Amino acid sequence: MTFLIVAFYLTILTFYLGVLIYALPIPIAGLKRWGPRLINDAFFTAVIASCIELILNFADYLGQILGSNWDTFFSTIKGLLMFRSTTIVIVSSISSTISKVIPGISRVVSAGLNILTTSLYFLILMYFLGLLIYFGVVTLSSFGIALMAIPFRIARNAGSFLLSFAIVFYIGLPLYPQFSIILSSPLPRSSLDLALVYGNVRNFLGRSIADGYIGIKVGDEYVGPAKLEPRGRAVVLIPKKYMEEYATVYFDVAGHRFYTNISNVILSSICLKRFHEHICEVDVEVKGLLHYSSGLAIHIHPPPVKVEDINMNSSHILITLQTDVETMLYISAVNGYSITRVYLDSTSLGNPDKYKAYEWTWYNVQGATYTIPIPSGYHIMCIEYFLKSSENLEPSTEDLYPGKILQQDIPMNQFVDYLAATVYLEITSSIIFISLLLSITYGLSRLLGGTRRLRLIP
Amino acid sequence: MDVIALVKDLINKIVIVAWLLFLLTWIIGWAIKGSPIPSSKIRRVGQGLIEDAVWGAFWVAIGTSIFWLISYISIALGNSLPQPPVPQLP
Repeated sequence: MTFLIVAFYLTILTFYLGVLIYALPIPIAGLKRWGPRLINDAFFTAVIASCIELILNFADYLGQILGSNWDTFFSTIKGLLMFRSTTIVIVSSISSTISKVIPGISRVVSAGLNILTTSLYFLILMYFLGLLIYFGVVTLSSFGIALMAIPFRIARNAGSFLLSFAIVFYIGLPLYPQFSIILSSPLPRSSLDLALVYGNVRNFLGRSIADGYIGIKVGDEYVGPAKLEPRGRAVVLIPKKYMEEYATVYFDVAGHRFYTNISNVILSSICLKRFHEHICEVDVEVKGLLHYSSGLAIHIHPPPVKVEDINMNSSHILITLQTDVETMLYISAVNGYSITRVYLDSTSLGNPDKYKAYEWTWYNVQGATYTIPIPSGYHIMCIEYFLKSSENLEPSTEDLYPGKILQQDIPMNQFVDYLAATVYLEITSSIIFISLLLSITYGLSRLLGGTRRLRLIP
Repeated sequence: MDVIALVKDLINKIVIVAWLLFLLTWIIGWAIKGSPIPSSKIRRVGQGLIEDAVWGAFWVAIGTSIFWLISYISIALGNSLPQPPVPQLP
């Protein structure tokens, strides 16, 4: 703000300096020509300085026409950042499994990883530029105008460059996602084209589930199990063509695949806020699951009216619930757990082994399920357990996911196509885009700060 | 704030100097124009000095009015000494 006030006073100073030179008794023509020049400059800069809000409103209006929206820009870039970083994590985790199969591929993969990281840096650069311009457009343009207002055109080129930089990037930078789509659409797509599906996982009561595995089944293909990120966030990479097919999302724990609210739907139709065609955010609600942690899942059917509390510590699980029909509680535990006692409202139900319904194998971990009938009403269940060993509670699934994604047929030329189309996309498109915007900035600054001016006065 | 005070101070000084200079240049210009020097080129220098002095006096006199006009137009178009637009967090 003070920049504008400084600019205004500087224009008044420039004006009076021009008048002074006009009034000088020295008849040198070169010096005298500065008089009208300074007066012209003062009027021009005073007009710009007082109309800056008009200019920025016009820039907003132009941006609306062109379809540049800062909100979508930031969300798309953040989504792309998440996509890239997930790809990097997945590729680095695959390289260790695949290098056992194909020796020497780790060199290629690490080179690919370097490029992926560079493209991540360019994405971060675009994000930072976006933040700088979005929050600083007024400061930058006022500073530019203040520089333009300095007498004798000392800083005029610099000021006009700053002003046009702020305005051009304010209008043009949010167009970057569309630009990179334009660049990438004619490129050949391979079967390795991946899409990212992510979202929060919660149970049917609305509590978020912090731990577990998510799998997506499309037709006969099952992508998973993908371990949840910390704080209950599911992130799954699937081949992009699965986005347009009927898919079911399962919560894959403790030998069972629990149904979720996403059952036999086309994924691209349920994505929330679709900013980018490779990224899809969903909201996953697991039916019937009360609790899961480290190989122990508690499942109830039919669902109770109310669950007041689920408390799990290292020796027992306490569940307080109310149900109006007779319901069945299922405890699925891997063999590392041993259920010692079950209490229903402080009465022991006897030897838990008589409740053991069946055994199962969850990928490479064995376990069993106990079913406990609960009569209707308000009950407090206490399940005492004993952890025999804390190893082998969850299966090792690296060869299933993400290893299986890349183990489909990968002809080498398709791999190179994939690398080129996705990895180099950010690098080349951000460089081209920024240089386009910079040359527009240069043109606008020549217009604003050019030395050939319309003469207002003789 | 120091910059603004400095600039305001400079403006005041320059206005005073400009008025005095206008008077001085006008006198010198008439002196040269009316002098008995035979070369007409030199007398044209005097003519130029008189013209520029008068233009200078004109601009000093109406300078403030023009700046007032510019800020009046910009207020009429909807901005005062501009409020920066507050960006919403994405």
